[in-house]
Amino acid sequence: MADTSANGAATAAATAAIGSPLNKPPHSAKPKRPNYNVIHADPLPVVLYHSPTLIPHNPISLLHHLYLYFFPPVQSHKVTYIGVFSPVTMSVEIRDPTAVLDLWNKGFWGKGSLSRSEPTWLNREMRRLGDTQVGETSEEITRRRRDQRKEMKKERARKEKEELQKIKEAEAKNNEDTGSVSNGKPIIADSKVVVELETEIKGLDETVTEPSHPSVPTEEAGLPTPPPSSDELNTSDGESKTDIVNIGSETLPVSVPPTSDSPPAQPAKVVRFDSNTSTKEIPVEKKVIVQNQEHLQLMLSEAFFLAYALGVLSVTTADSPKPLSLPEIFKLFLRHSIFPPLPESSISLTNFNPDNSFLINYVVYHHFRSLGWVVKSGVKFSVDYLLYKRGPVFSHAEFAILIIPSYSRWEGKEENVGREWYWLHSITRVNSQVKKTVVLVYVDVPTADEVKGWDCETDGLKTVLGKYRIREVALRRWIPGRNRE
Amino acid sequence: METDGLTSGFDDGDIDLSDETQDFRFLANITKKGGGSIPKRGEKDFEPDGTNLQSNTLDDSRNAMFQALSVERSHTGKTRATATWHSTRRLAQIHEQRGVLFKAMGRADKTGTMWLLPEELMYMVERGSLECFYEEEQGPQDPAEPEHKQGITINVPMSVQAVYAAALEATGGLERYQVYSNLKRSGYIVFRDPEGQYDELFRNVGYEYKAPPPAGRGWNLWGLGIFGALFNGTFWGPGKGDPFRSMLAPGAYRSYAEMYRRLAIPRKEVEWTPTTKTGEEETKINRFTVTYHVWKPRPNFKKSAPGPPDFYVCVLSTLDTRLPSLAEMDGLFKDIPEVDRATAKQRGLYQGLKEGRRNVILATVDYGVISYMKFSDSRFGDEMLEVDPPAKGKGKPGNKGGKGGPPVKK
Amino acid sequence: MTTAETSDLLNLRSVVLSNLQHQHYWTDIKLLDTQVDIDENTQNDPLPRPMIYGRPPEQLYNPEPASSTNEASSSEKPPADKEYVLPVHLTEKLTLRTWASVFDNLPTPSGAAEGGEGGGDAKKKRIVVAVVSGDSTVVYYIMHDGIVKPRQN
Repeated sequence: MADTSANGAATAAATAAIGSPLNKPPHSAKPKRPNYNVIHADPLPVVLYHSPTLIPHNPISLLHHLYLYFFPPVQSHKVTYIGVFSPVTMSVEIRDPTAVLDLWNKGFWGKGSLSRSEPTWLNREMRRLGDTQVGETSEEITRRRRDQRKEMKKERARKEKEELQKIKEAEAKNNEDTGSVSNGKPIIADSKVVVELETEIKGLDETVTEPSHPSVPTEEAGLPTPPPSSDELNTSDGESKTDIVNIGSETLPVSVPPTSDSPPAQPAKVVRFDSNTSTKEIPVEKKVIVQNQEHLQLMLSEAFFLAYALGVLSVTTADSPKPLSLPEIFKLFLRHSIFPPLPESSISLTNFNPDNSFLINYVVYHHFRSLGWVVKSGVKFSVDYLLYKRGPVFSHAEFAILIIPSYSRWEGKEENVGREWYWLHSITRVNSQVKKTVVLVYVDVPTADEVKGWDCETDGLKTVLGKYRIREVALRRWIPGRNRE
Repeated sequence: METDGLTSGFDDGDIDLSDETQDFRFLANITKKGGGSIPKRGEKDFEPDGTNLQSNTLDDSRNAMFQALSVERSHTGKTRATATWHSTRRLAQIHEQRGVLFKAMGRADKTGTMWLLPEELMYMVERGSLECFYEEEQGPQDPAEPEHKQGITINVPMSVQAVYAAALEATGGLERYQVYSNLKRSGYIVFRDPEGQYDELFRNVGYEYKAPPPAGRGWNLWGLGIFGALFNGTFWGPGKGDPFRSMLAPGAYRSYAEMYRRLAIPRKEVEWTPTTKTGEEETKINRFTVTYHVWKPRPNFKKSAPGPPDFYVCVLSTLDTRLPSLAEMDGLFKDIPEVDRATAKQRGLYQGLKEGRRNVILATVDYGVISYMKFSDSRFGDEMLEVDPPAKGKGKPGNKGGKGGPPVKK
Repeated sequence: MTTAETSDLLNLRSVVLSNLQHQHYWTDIKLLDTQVDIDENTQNDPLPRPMIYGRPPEQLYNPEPASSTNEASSSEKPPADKEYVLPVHLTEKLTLRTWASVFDNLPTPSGAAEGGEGGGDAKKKRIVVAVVSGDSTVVYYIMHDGIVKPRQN
């Protein structure tokens, strides 16, 4: 007995000794909030030129500085990103992981095609299959909160049903006793329980006001989500044979257990899947290799801004690696302003029709972007765009943009199709529930005559864009009872 | 994949109790001896659940309502005020001014007689503060008393329905009256926009309400328009004749703000030349004009010199209007004076954009249901956000002032 | 407005397919192009719009109140019902005729043999409308053929 226990103790001690380094995964110490100010320091994916420090009393430094001031090295456009126009998604897709990261970090361009905003599909998939190194994503946090809420609602419904049942039984009994439907002492339902549940549910509700906000700062938003690095994506080389969990585009992802004996999501045995499996002591962790099914999807407005205004994006099609020219991109986007896309023949640059929804939307996009706002799609709030001050990770969008085309300069066209009031009221209500201010952006469209000849002038497109007049009108619901002060 | 709708319930700031049906039981509770407390908004039952409890509760509420409505309303001798409706002039003449309401309603003429607008009359009569009579009529000659050359004068009191029938049209229509009385009941002081006054007496007002003509736009001096033009003009480089020349030429930019300035597209402000379209267009009634000037209640309010209005309200019916076009919106704004620059500078970025240079409240009436919405003339183009991280040690980048404008205090 | 070409509609469907599979983990997926795909005993006529038939990981909205089915613990939950998914684009405007013809081609849910109100609601035909927008967001709505009493929660 004594032996066993001594052994047991020894073993325990031994385990404990090796245990600490064993149990502590090397990467994460304390979950740290990512420093968004550093990650998103650059508002544009364009390189800034930093003049070297000036040492005023050093004549060489002074001269150097002067020289650089007048003849700066051309720096800004070091990188050109490549995107592919897809007629399937009617957008421009970015697949190169470095480009995806760059574009998201430097201005929040695009959206993960399988995520709520930031592309996190790869991390989610890896975690789903048991990887322990990857940090929790915002989708998972939101999911957990929603499940909590659902449970509470079930609980509330059950309690309400119970109470109702009690009342009905009591009333039935009453009827038996007195032989008639009695208006006797009314039985007050135990509404306290229900009210408490209500408050809890509301509490949960209030913390989720914006689905696109990646990390609401709660305690759970701990682990940073490391970007998908390139070595995790090259899986098809065959080195790790069946060890690789490969999700191709055809197979359906039912929960696929990794080929080792340990079930997923339990960091029990050590399973390393990359080709550099070392034989020495490995910490308890799991790494999963998955082929990334997600791409960064750029709205047409975003892609055009990057390509035309900034000049950092080149666009190809699936057919050919040769980048499209800007006029070609322009025509392509004009056609795909609606579904189904307009035929090629309907778009002419020479006889140009400025009444095209891609261009009207682009004018607004460019207007707000050039003022420093981060502009994202507003589809989740039934508006056209959302404006963020620095980006979705810093704050909720304050403004919800509705584009109202106006045709005051057109002959014979009704100036405004004039939306019905109830349309406006429903959108305002939806947005005030999530504390956003709706802004109507009237865009007065130039006539075809006004823009004639643009395709032969320098900066012709810029001139065309300038002919759209813009006027913003912010809306707020006004309640007499609340504005007395 | 969850079927998740928006968060349940309404944020407190959105609760408009007038949307709800009142529960008169609470009134009974308050008025009984000892008084009750002011009730909070309760929960609605989802559906009939077949219990006696529920139907009894509903009966109690209904009975409380009938109880409250059945109370007899009366005037006492001291507080009784009377008026006569003059149908040609479309105003009511007050005989004795009693009660505190006249501090903010009606106009006295040179002889000291107080006159009321039709909506003011209707409001007071409905409220029970005033009794109104038809104009004096000559009764028929009484054959029994031939020495009376004229008949007996008759003063016929008007019922509430009669007042409505007589005065409603002169108020401008049911929608206007509904908004008027809604605002009055909420405690505000409401005058018609002087342009909408048909009677001389009410047309002169002792306060400024018109927007001064748009002279030199001090506002836009630092706006992007000028800077944009300057910077873009100085950009020479390859690509002459290229309509698609990139707006941001490769180069050495020392700040992101510099880059953003290059991206600005100069554009003219919206301007209106009176459209000489078909004759049909010209006769189109413009419904987008200011209807009422509204002040928040204050103890020292003077009818003769109230100061500028706190709110400008435009009343619209959903039957004959839709979302205003740009021209209609601009026309409406033109009549409203802008916020003075000092106040504007005090505001932060968001507040400034939400309130705009000026704002107007559109009251849309849909078969009796009123929705108020404040439309603000926001000018996002007036200010560019700060895009460069601050120099080290200055804290997080935020946005206080525009680039060129004086810093705004938060 | 031009009518959507079949290839455009198929493109639209493949976007929704990818979304259902990879973002929301739907299973047992079947593509529906002709009537025969829904019911073997019908003609080979094309459906008004190409659709998807599949199983969500968890039961979607159930018109019955939550409390009636909550006794089972989470490990005993039966597999979720399969749903019919209709892909549409944000900028499309569908006519009532199109909606009606989509529903007409679907089978009535089982157990609706006895008409009348009672169990009627849960047995009304329904589809999941998948609205695709240019930024890659797909918004899903549940649409019933007829009026269904909303659930309290």
